[in-house]
Amino acid sequence: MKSQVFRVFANLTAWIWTILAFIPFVFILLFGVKNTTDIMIKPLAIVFKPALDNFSRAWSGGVGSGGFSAWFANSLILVIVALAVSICAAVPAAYFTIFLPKKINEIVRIIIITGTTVPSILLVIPYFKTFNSLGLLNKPIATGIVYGVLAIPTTFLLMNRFFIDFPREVLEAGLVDGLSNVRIFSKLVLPLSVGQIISVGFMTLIWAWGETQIAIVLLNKASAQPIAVGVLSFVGDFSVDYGAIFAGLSLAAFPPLIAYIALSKYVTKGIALGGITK
Amino acid sequence: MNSVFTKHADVNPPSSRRIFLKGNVKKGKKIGLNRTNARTAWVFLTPVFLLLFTFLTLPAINSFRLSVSQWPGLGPLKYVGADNFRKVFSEGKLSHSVFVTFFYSFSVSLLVVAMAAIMASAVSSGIRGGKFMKVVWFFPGIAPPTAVAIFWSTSLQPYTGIVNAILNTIGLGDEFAPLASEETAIYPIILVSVWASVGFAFLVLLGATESIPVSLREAAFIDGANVWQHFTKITLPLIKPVLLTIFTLEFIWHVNGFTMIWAMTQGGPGFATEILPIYAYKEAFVFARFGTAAAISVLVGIFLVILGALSTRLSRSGQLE
Repeated sequence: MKSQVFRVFANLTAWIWTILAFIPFVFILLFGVKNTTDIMIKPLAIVFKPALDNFSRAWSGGVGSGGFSAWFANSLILVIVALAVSICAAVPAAYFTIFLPKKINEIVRIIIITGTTVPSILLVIPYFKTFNSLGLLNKPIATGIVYGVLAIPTTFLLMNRFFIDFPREVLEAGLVDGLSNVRIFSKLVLPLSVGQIISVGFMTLIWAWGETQIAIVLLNKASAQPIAVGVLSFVGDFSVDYGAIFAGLSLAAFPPLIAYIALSKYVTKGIALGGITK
Repeated sequence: MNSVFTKHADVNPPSSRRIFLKGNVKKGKKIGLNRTNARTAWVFLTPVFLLLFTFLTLPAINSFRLSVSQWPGLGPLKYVGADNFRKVFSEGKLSHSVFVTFFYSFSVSLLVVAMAAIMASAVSSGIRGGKFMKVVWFFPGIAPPTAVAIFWSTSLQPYTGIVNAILNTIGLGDEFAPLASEETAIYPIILVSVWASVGFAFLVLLGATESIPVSLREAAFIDGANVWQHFTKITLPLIKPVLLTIFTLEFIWHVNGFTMIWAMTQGGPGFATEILPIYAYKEAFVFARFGTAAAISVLVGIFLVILGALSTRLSRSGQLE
């Protein structure tokens, strides 16, 4: 009896949650192509005259504000720089660390885990101070480097765990074939690690696309903002133009969602196997 | 960014592959794979440590320096001792902000863990559509927090919001405006934060649940355990360390969780939802009182680092068992 009730309860929760997780994104997209009066008067109507100019208004933005064309580009810069920095710095290091004595590998891991406990609140003001004095405020590439470095610990830890379990006979085969150590890494190990790198890189991508606490401080000029911060100022400027606001929300939310659907095979497996990342 | 390894990767029954690999570590050493690569390891580790030192350690030290200084946003620091801390404690806003922070973080973490546990048990007991759910549940965590926060705060607008439109069609009126009142504003924020965080916790918990050896499940069923007993006697005790780790991490992330609240209420109405990171942000970037802002950050930072150290300790001691 208890067992049945629990099962029904769990399944019901699962279905309700599925609807709750899905429907908001349907509305965001739907409102993005609805005109403002329709959104306000009959938000639930499914038949309406599409208003695609919402997107062009959001894309070009208001007078003196960046608009989504600029914010989209800035976010792309942040993501690409963050991925390049974190992967190039952490992946080779994570690989070669496995050849250190086991105890030293553990110590390296502990030092890097400690790095993940430093909260952003402790970093934001010093970053602002330093960036301000170096003239690096409102430069997306510079903030992208910060993101990349902040993503290094997670990338390192997940990749290191992966390489520890990597079949050694592959490496030995390379050695027998006369490949140098660096070539073993680039020709044998890297191609076999693509799946893991994608799943770790995806977490960095999502984080860099949505990060706000640091970006709102280091990229405070409208034209330099990334999309996650841009939507906030857009709501301020376009407060009654719901159509354009929702078009903007679609532009912010759907690129990572599409990337996720395309890569979900790697992502769900990566989190389930790898650990906790944020 | 935050990462701590869960226990479950090591709870996995040692597969034959892993045992085989352990044997190979020694073999690698014999033919010199380890020694030459060890040098390469330091070549790659040195820049990693330098970067982390520059972008994590130095700023953290700078926060401490700022917290004992006066700095209006320009020019050199002026040492003022414990003045900033005294100001923060005497201003009277701190205790309120601490309370809101704890109330928010604790409620969110508790709800996230509870929901994720129920959902993981539904999926692992083979609910229809489980594969689809697994993908969809992560959606709220993938869209930028500011974007979903704006969606929800717009939806909760009286008269025009979608939530009120739905309430209106079922006859409950369209004047529901929880974000506008000081007493109720925190609750929708808690729910939206839970909504955005559950998918992630679920995936990690599912991983832990599915790493419970099949033989153990079968043995329990042969002994006549039903689904409920199975959940309380086997699944729950085995995933308890993971539950605890997720709870601690969610707590840490939400104590530090600036974005969702900033995008929904900016800490208002009044100071009703002003958690510590928003308090610190406003001190610094609205009122240009960087010293007191740094003092608040340092207090939060020390608390979080201790909590983080405890949680990694927790998950590490779990690994050793």
